[in-house]
Formats: sequence, structure tokens, C-alpha cells
Amino acid sequence: MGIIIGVIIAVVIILMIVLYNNMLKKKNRVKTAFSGLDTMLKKRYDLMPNLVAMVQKYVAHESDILTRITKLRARAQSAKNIDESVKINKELDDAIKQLNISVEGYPDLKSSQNYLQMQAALNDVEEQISAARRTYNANVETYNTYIGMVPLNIVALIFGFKPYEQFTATEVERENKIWINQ
Amino acid sequence: MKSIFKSEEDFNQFFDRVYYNVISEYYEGYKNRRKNIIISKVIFGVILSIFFVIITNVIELNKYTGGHVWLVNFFVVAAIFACIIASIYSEIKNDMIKKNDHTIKDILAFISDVSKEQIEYEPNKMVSRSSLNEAGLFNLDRVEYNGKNFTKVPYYKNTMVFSDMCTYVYKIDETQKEIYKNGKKYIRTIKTKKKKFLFDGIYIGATMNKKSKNQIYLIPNNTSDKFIQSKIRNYINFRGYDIVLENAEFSKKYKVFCDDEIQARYILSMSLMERINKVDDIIKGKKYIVFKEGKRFTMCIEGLSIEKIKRNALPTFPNKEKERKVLLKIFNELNNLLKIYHILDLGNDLYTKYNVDDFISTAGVQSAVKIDRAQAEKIATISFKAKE
Repeated sequence: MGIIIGVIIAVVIILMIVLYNNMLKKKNRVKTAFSGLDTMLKKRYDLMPNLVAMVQKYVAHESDILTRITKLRARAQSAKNIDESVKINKELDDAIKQLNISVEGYPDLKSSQNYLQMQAALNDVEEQISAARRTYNANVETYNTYIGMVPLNIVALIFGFKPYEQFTATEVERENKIWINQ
Repeated sequence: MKSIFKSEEDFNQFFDRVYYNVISEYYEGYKNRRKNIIISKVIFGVILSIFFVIITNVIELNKYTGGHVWLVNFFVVAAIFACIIASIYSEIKNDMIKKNDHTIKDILAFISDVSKEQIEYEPNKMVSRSSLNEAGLFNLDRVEYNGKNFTKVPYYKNTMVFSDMCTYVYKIDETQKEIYKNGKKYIRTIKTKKKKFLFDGIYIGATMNKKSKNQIYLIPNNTSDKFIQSKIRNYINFRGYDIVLENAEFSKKYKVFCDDEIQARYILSMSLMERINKVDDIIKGKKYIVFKEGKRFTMCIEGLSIEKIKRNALPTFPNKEKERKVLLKIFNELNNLLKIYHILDLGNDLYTKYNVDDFISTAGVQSAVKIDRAQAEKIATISFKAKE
């Protein structure tokens, strides 16, 4: 009887170790994907001051949006964890999209060569962010599904594996297709 | 992007205005050769028939056929003339196929809006070994290959390269046969060397304006070709991912291998996946696609070749409508090949015109928009403070 209980305990321990390793592997892939996304986001943060400075000259009446972008950029750069970063970046996306809509009302700015070049550069960065987001979301989905399945959810609870939040389309993205890259 | 698509209507206009005269001139020039082929072959047939009739008389075949030698003569002469007609048709058809060496060049020049001199077309040349090696699809260390119809077409500020190619291995089959000699039983092993084709199709090379930092391979999901896959598998096992993308239709058709997941998703954007699906609707056949470091794009399509397109021969005798039909077929097939460039939007110059790094102001680097980081930060901070 003692041997049987010992074998059962050993099997359970081995199973726990295997499951823990799998969860950790998946979690690390989420983290790697996020660091990829973070690099792309940093590229965008670096573009923000230029964008704000360029637009400011033309759209004096839109200072609300510009201020919001600046504020969000500062907050995003100092985000403490992935979820916070995801949340702030969603807001930043909305703000940039709103700015883009506002620019529609300023033909001088819209036709400015510098602005067009900046828009193209932003577009490319957005595309890279979009790719990084898709990678992040795919990995988060795999991880969340894995730790959500019964009985893996119990193991996840024991070891403190929590689900991650995915990047989803923002309200502005849903309403208009502008700036949604690919 | 300005479209330089050529439609069937455009081709019909081109044919009526210009190309019909070119073809007519060709037929005019070919008239004498055609006459010579027909006359020489008919004379040969007549001589052969007379010779046969004389022979039947000499050997007194009448005796053996019950007076029906005329029937034998009739059938044999008819057979000779049937062969002569087939031979005339075949020789003229071959000449017409050879003429397609020029036709293909002319039509490619028309589609790509360049002069004929700018089109490089060499029927007996194939894409270089280094290019094939660069594509990384074919395991050239293990397989033999050959090809022809090398074509280089300047197309919308870029260049597209086509080449028929096939890869194969020699397989040795061993069969054992029992033989008896002097009452003794021997077993003889017969070895036969057989050519096994692995890939037979067309190689398409182009440059893509979206710069890839890594390499991405798209392999048909249903492929069983171990030679093509072995090289990729090796490469993947060491440092790559096998990823599943969001487009269900695309994922059903292709396996995607890459060494950087984010880069793969950057190149294989949602729209590019849809565009690749569109190419599948236009051109059937298994497709192997490679995006290599830099801007190199390679697509290999099985079952398609310039040689097959060339087989659409012009009619033996001039006939405007038949000529139009044949040339329209050649045009459509070549146009579909070049359309790949447009459908995949390989020439999208958004990415080459503007360099993102030019806009990211870093210490000591002046941005392309002449606003340095400090100035930009200052303006942004002032705006932020004003709001506060």
C-alpha cells in the first residue's frame, strides 16, 4: 500500500514538474513576444515628439489631443508591467488615430511633404507594431488557453500563473479603418 | 501605385494596330520555306509511292492477292501521304513554336511597357546556381537540376526573372532475375538507373520593397517532397519557428517557417496573406515562396513553364482570328505571371521611400524633418505643461 501511495506521489510530482515547465515555457514566449513588441513601441515613442512638434505648428486648436499624446507617451514609457503597458498603449493608439482624423481638417498640414514623410514612417512603425502585437496575441492566446484548461488551471493556480491581457482593436480602430495597418 | 495592367482589350488593340502586321510579315517571309517544305515532302511521297507500285509489279504481287493489288497499292499510297501530311504539319508547327521565341519577347515587351531590346530571353539558358542556392529551397547538394527559357523582364521599376527548371535525383532500382545455364540456376541482379523528378515548374525571382531582416519559407501544406523540405527542416530545427498565422485559408494552404516570428508576421501581413490566396486563384499549382534577407522574393510554381506557354503555336497558314486567339492565350499566360508582382504588391514603394530611422531623433543625429529631439521634447513639454 505504501509503495502504491509513493508511486502515485512520485507520478503527481513528475506531472507537476512537466506541467510547470510547459507553463513556464509558454509564459516565457509571451514575455519574449512582449519584449519584441516593446522594442517596436519604443520606436513609436521616439517618433511622438517629432509628430507633436510638427503638428503643433498647424493645429493649434487640437492641443487637447497633443497634450494627451505627450502625457500617454510619458506614462507608457514608465509602465511598470505588461498589462499596464497594454492598457496605456491602447489609449495612445486611440489618441494618435484621433489626431489623424483631426489633421483631415488641415489641408496645409496634410499636403506638407514633411508630414507625408512622417506619416509614412509612422505607418511602417505601426505595421511593425501590428506584427509584434499579432505575435504577442498569438502567444498569449496559447498560454491563456493552456493555463485555463481543466485540470491545468488548478496547477496554474498553485504556481501562480495568471492569464495575460491581449491587445484588442480599440474603439477608434473599430469605427474607422484609418491607421489599421494590414 | 500607378497600374500598368494590360487587359485583353489592350492586347486586341495592340494586335490590330501593330502586331498583326508583324505576324503577317513573318508569314510573308515564311511563305517560301513553307512552300519548300510542302513541295519537297510531296515529291518525296510521290517518289516513294511510285517506287512502291513498281516494286509490287516487279514481285508480281497480283498473283498473291487474287487480282486485288490495286487495293494494296491504294492503302499503302494513302498511308504514305498521311505520313507526309503529318510530317509537313509537324515541321511547320515546330517552325511556329520556334517563332514563339520572338513572340514571347514581343508580348513581354508589350506587357511591361519597355522596348524589346530590354527583354532578356534565352531559350537555352537557366537561372544561375547561385540564385537557386540563395533561394534556399532546393537541396542542390543532393539533387541534380536543369532548366531553360531564362527570361529577365524590367517591370515597374524592378526586374522579374523567370526560368523553367526541374530538379531530380537518380534512383537505382534493383531487380533479380532467375536464369538457367547448363542446367544450373543463377540469379542475375539487374540495376536500372531511373530519373525521379522532384520539382518541375517555373522559378520566379523578384525584389520586394518591404525589407525583410530574416528568412521566411512558405511550403505547400500537402507537399510530400522530402528533398525540398529536408533543407528547410534542417534549418528550422536549429534556429527557427513553425508558425500558424491568422488567415485560415492561408494556413490551410501553407506551412510557414521562419527564424523570427515578429519579422514573419511583419512581412506576412494580413493583406499579403490575402494576396497570396489571390495568386492561388489565378495560377494553379503548388507554390513554394521564399522571402530572404534583404528584399529577395522567390516563388517556384509546380507544373507551369515558359516552355508550355511556347507550345501555343501560331496557325500553319495565316488566319487573323486564329492568330489572335493563340497570341491572346500566350498574352494571358504571361500576363498572369507578371500580375503576381502586382497582386502581391511587391513594388509598394512606401517602405523604400521613407526610412523610419530618419525620423527617430537620436542624440547627435539630425532628423529628416529638421526637428531635433530636444526641440521636439521642449515643444511637447510646453504643450503638456500648458494643459496642466
